Formats: sequence, C-alpha cells, structure tokens
Amino acid sequence: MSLNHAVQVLQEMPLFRNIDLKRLRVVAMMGESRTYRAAERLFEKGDEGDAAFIIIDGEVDVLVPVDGGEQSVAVLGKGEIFGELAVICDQARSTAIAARTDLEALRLDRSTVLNLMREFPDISLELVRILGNRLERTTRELSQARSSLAVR
Amino acid sequence: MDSRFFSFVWRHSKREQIFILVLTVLSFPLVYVSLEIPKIIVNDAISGRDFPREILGIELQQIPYLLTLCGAFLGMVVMINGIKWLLNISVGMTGERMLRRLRYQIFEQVMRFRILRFRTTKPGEVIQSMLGEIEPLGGFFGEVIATPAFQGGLLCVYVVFIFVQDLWLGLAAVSLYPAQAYLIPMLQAKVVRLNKARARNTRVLADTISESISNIADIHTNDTARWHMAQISGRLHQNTLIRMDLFKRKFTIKFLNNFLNQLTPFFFYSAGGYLVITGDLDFGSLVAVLAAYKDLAGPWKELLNYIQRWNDFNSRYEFVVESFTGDDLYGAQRVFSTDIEPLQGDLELSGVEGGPGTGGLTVSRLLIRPGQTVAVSGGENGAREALLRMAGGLLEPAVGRVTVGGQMLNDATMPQIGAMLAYVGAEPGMISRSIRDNLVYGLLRCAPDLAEQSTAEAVVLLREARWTGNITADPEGDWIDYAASGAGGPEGLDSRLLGLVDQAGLADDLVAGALDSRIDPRDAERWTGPILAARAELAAGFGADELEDIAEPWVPGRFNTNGSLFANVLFGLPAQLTDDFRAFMRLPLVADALDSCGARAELEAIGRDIAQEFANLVEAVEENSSVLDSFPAYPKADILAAADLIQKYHGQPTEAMGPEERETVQALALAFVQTRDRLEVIDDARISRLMACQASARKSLAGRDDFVFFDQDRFSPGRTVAENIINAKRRFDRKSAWKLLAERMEAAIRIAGLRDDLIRLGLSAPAGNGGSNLSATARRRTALVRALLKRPKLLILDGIAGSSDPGDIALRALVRKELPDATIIFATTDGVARDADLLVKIDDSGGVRSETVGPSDDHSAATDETRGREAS
Repeated sequence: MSLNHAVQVLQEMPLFRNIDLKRLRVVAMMGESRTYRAAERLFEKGDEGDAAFIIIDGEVDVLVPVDGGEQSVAVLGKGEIFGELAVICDQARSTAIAARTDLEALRLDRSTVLNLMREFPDISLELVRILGNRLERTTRELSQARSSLAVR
Repeated sequence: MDSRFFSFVWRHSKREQIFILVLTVLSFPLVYVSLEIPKIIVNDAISGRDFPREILGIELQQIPYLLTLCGAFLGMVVMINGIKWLLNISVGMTGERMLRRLRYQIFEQVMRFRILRFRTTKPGEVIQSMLGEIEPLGGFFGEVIATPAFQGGLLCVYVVFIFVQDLWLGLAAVSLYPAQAYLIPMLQAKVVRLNKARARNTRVLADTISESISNIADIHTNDTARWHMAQISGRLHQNTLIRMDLFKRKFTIKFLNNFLNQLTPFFFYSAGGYLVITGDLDFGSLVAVLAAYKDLAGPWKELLNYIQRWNDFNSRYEFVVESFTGDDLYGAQRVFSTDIEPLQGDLELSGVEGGPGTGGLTVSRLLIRPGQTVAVSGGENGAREALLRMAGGLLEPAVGRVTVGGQMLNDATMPQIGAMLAYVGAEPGMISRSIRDNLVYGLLRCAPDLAEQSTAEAVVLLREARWTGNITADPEGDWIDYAASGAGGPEGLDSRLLGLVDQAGLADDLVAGALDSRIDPRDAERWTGPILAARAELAAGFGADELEDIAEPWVPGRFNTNGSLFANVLFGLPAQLTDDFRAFMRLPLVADALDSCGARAELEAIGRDIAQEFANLVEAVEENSSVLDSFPAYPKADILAAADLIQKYHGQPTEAMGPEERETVQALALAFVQTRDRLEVIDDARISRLMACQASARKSLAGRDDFVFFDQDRFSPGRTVAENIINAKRRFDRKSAWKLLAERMEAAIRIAGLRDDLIRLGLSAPAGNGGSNLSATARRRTALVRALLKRPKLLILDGIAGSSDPGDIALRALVRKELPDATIIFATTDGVARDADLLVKIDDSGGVRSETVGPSDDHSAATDETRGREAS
C-alpha cells in the first residue's frame, strides 16, 4: 500500500472531510499498513482495544456470537473506520472482526489516535459526530426492538 | 578499625613513611650542591684565573673545567628531579593505598553490621563516607611524617642561624610563635566542628539524592518532583550556610597568620635598626638575619598549613570511623571464618517477642523438625514477615531465642547460615551482572585465591591486595562452590541450572530474549550449524508459500520491500553487533563498497526525497507536536533534523551540504524500508539502479570474513538470532501473522536441539540494574532457582509460591522434589496449604499457634508442646 493510495482513500472519508491534503498525509504516515488474507481475524470480542483500523481496500465482517457460533451483523468496506470506540473509551472489543476478502487496512494505535485528535481538533469533532450517529442508531434500534417485543 | 588517625597511618604505612622521609633528607645535600655549582661556575670557571684546576686528580683547563662543571650541574638537576619523581610517586601511591585500605575497611565494617543497623544506615551515607568524605585524605597520607619533618627541620636550621647571629633578634623572630600557637588551635577547633557539620549535612544530602532516585516512580505518580527539589535545595542551602561560616573562620585564621608573620619584620627593623645605630649589632648581621627570616616564612607557613590540614583530616577520619564502628557489629570471625561446623537439627523459636515493627509477634514455643513442610498463615500486619525473617536469621527477636539444633541462629557464622538456609522474599536482591551470575549467586562462596594464579595481572592484584589489607581473592575468578550445588563441576552445574530454569518457568523468557539478541562475531561460527538446522526445521514446518506470506525471502537481484535499503544495496550485513546505519557507514568495508558500486549519489537523491517528506510533515503539524512521537519508523529527532536540512539547503544541490550532513541524508535513505515507511521515494528506475549497485557490491564484498551475505550458509552477527533462523525479512504489513511465525520458530528450535543453547545465551544476558531487565515474577523465580541450586537444609519462601494456584503448587512440588530432606517454610497467601504438614497460624495480635496435618508422631509432639504453652 503506497501512501498516496491511502491518502486518496482517507480523502473520501467523511471523518477527514475538513482535513487538508498535507495533514491527511500525516495521518497516513502515522498509521501502519496491514494486510490480511480473506477469513483472517483482526481481533476477537473481549480483546484489548489497542488500535483503530481504516479499510483501504477490501471488506470485513463484524461478528457477534450467537448460540454456538457467530453471525456477521455488518460488512464494512473501503474508507470505513472501526475499532475507534474501544480506543477512545479504553474498552475491550465489543465484537470480533474478520477479513471478508483480502484486506488492506491502516492501523492507528491508541497513542497515535489520541495524538491526532489533539493535533487536529476537526478529527475529534468528526469522531464525535460518527459516534453520536451510531448511538442514535443503536437507540432507535433498541426502541424498535422493545416495541416489537411489547407488540408480541 | 584504628580509632585514631595517626595510629592508622603508622600501623599500616610506617615503612613507606620512613622511606619518604629518608628520600626527603637525601635530597637536602643534592639541593645544596646544585645551588653551589652555579656559584663556582660564575666565580671560578668563568671569571677565574690561573688554570688548570684539579677535579678528582685530573687537571682541567678553563673550557673543559667549565664544561665538566656544567655537566655536573646537569647531572645534579637530573638526579634531584629523579628523586622528586620517586618522592611524588611514593607519596601518591602511599596515599592511594592507604585510601584503598580505609575504604575497604569501611566496607568490611558494613558487612559486619547487624541487620538491625541497616534501619538507620542509609546507602547514600555509606557511599558518601566511603568515597567523598575521605577522598582528600589520599593526598595527605603520604606526607603525614615527611612534611613536618622536612619543614620543621628547615625551620629549626633557620631559627638556630638567627639565634647564632643575635640572641635578641632570635627571640624577636620567634616572639609571636606562642601567640599563634595559642590562637590558631582555638579558632581551628571551631573549623573542625564546622567541617563535621558539613560532612554530616553532605551525607544527608547524598542520602536525599539516592532516596529521590530510588523513589522516582512515586515522584512521577504523585507529582512530588518539586517537593524533592525543594528538599535538595534546603540541604544545599544548609551547605552554603556552613560553608559561609567556614570561610569566615578559615580566612580569619589566615589573616591572623599573615598579620603575625608580618609583625616580626617590624621588630627587626625597629629593634634591629636601633641596635645597629647604637652600635650593639653590626649591619651585616642584621641583613643576614633579615634574609634568614625571609626564608623562615616559607617553612613556617607550610607548617601552619600542615597543622590545619592535620586537624581537619584527623576529625574527618574520626568522624568516618565513628560511623562505622560500635558495639552492634558482628565479630569478624562470624562473618569471615570459613571454618564451617554445619548447622543442623530442629529449628526452634522459644519465648520470642518480636518488638517494635513486628506486628506484636509473640511465640511461646515453635518447634520445626527437619524435613517438615510448614505453611505460615495470618499475621499480615507484619508478624508473618517478622517470623519468617527470624527463622532466616535476618531479624533478631527483642526477647527470646531462635535456635537451630540448639545453637542460636544469631551467633551462627555467615558461612554456616549461607550453607544451611535460603530465604526467598518477594523482592529478592539482584546484582547487575548476567542472569546466570544472579542464579549462581547463592554458590559464590569459594574464594579463588590469587596466590594460586601465576599471570602477571594476578601477581600485581595479589601484591596490591596484600599491601592494602584487602581480600586476596580474584573478583572475576570462579567463585562457585560446586560441592554445595551437588554438581561435580561446571558441566554438571550447567545441566542442573538448565533443568531448574526450565522447571521454574524461566526458560521461555530466556529463549525469547536470546532470539532478539545478537551474537558476538567471535562466537558466531559455532552457531552456524544449529541455526541452519533450525532454519531447515522452520521451513519444513510451513507450507511452500506460507512462510513467504509472512516473511519476504532475500533473492539476489530482487528488491526486498521489507528490508532496509542498506541491506538491499549490499545484500548482506557486516559482522557487527549493531544495527546502527551510521556506524555501519563508517566501517571501511562498507564505505568502500558504497563508493565502488556508485550507490552514494542514488542514496543521496533518495535521502533528500525522504528529508523533503519529513519537512512537509513537520510543516503540517504544530511546533513540537506529539504526533511526531508516533511516527513508527524514524525517531522524532531524525525527522526534525531532516526538516532543518531541507530548510537550510532550500534550492541548493545536496553537494552543497557538509560531509556530516551528506552522511545524515545518506543514512536516512539507508534506513528506509519501503513496506514500513511507504513514502513514494523509490520507483522502478531507482530500484534497478540499486540492484545494479547490489551486483557490484556482491563482487567487491565476496570472500570477506567480516561480511555475511543473506544467501551465505553462515551465521550473520549483524542479524538477531531470530532473523538468522527465519533468513527472510518479516513482512511489516503481516504483523498479525508474526505470532504464528514465533510459535513455529519455537517448535523448530526444539526439534533442532537449539533450545538449550538459546537458554544459555539468555542466561548470559545482563539482568540490568536491580534486575530491571527481568519482570518481578522472573526475579522471584530467579531467586527461587538460586536457592534451590545451593541445596539448603531450610528454605523460607515469603512472597513466592504461596497460593493455592496450580502454578504455585507446582512450584512447591518442584521445591520438594529438589530438596527432599529440607525443611520448607512458606507464607501462604490464601490460608490453603494441603501440601503442608505443619500449619502455623498467626492471629491478629501476633500470637502464634501451630497444628500438625497428617499422622506423624514427631509432629504431634511438637504441636502438643505448643498447645501446652498456649494453655498456660
């Protein structure tokens, strides 16, 4: 993975929409590039949340355990970020992640994420927005689940 | 130790002192002659008439006479300076040897301190006393007798001369000596007191410093740096105050001395002048007396100076000696006698009261039979620790007796205790040597006598040790007591050590450390075979493409995207124990290879591009941004330096840079790893040029011993052991698979029979300051193996292997297996101890009761006695 390719991907991400090209290059340089083969697991539920990942190429499955096995609850693709919640909130991984295809990702470890947030406050704001959206979606899904339970 | 300075000096250096004195006296006539010869040269040889002159029966004309005298003068100068040289060396060496003796004696005293005394003796104070406080004495030892003898002698000669000229003038010359003799010591006494106060304050300062350094973790977590700085500042202020007082006194003395010395000429001019005028003294005599008095001032000043130093150093010596003597020292016999009568029998505590700081520990009677496994529970308030330390002879009870086979443990000699028992605490002491040295530490008891060695070095070592009353053992010799370890010799001990290290769970850490280490080029050859075997096993353990997916192989002519440009250009590494590219570049073989293959220009171009990237990076972030700390490949300092270079040489070619700056640019390129760093500084054209350089470098470096190519079947000291086994570059983007690689490597190492060698290599790694290279668990296990190696009859475990976890139970089983007949006492942390046959419980008030587990007549007898006491 070349730096330019990574920067191109970052450029298209909403997270970095207010960050100029020079700084995007910094973000790309600070990360480590990682390659995974299809079906390779990036981390398990309950692991320490030591890094966030941005998908440069390929897709991953977000896996949650269901009786005896596990189920993919979402597929993330190019330009999507995952694992940032565990890093920022210092939590264990809430789901497992496995490569769905051959995968190229940018790995940002905890101190890098925190340093970047401090250096570029716009990134922090965007992260708040992403997390807020996610919370809103989860709340909505929860209330839907509750009302469907009540109907039953 | 001698309590008085002079008796110490006289007892240990009288021969040297007399030698120095004789040498000093010998130099007198030579000095006299050397002053006389120039007079003869001027008056006789140059201005004289009626030659020839006769010297030793030979008649000489004027010129030969002059040259002979000049030759004699030159000879005199050489002789005098030769004697001075000898004198200076004698004075210096006498001082140095006496200092060595004194320092050694102080350390010996510290070794004899009872453990209790270390509650009040602080390491910083001991260091300050041993090194700082007595250091100035070194310059004084050699002149203790010579200076007063020499200067006093001169003074006497001058005084007698003046008295011979005139009684009254003589009296005038010495008239103020009594005043000085009375006043100076009085003022000096205060100076001595201040010097002591200063020494005391400096000791506290030294201790405050060492306390701050050892508490650095607490300083950081409590934000107390400023508080500690204020403490140091306070001590420094005290020092300044004392110094100020000291200066005032010292220079008052000097003022008085100078004044009184100048007062005497006043008498000469007034009284002497009067006598000359009245005709009672002839003018010539007055002039002679004045000249003699001028000479008198020198020695007198020296003598006064000597007296001041004498007082100062006497008090210094006594102050230091007072701190290291006292009634609470063990007799030297207890510490150093190697005449061992082994301790054996029951361990018994009777009528024991722990005293302050022991959680109220009281033991009416506790009897532990040889071979019992004893679990001690309760007493978390300090009573348990105190009990275990008493059983280990590390703490004396305030009241009562701790005996082994009827002998008081506190009266036992250190060799007796060392041979009989081992105590493993939660924070065992570690020495900053290799891990192996730390493991065999319990066996370092057979002093290798220097007298048995014949090397020149050993002979000098022995002679100096004897002269200075030091131990006559070789510090770097083989101290191991093989008999005590049960191993016949080094090989037996080695295999026992490897076995114990493995069973105690230390081996995996050691192997991991060894895999990350490099091997000295001198030892490299014998590693080639085993490493190649492990390499083959590793390859066999993987599928064909599987290994290549994790590590990129080195193929001649093919650019390795995970290797540094340095490794790519040379296709190998110098046989050096470093991975510092700058150091590599300065090696002549590397410099020549880079020059001859024409890589420099290419490297400078690439390095310049990298520096430009770094400059952009620095520009994009805030000044001193912490973002730069997160950059995975290059340290922040390198990034900033590169950015500075770009700014400095903006628009100028790289050739305009200085040689060091060009080296910096080249080093940036040499350290570059494409997959890791991902900067677009390398394209196909550059790669093909670099590969052309590689082809040329391969030719110029072929056949060298100090360079190893990646495709050579040789151990490469420039790579770590792990890299040698993998023989390919681990892919940076496949870090997720490195763990798998490590597991396979571990298996390959076992199959190839390399594991023991790697454990040995791990053992030779440094343990670090206080064992800092080891985890706390590893340190405890090291201490446990240390204890097992010496096969004690009594093993006390306090803070290790004390729980009912399977791991701890296994450790205790190991201990029992290794020491089948020993008494084992361990502190149980959770009160569960199914493997014990005697339980000792300490209640909250420090009371101790014991109960036997399992049917054993001996044990129940012990319990009954204990119970009997409790009832009463």
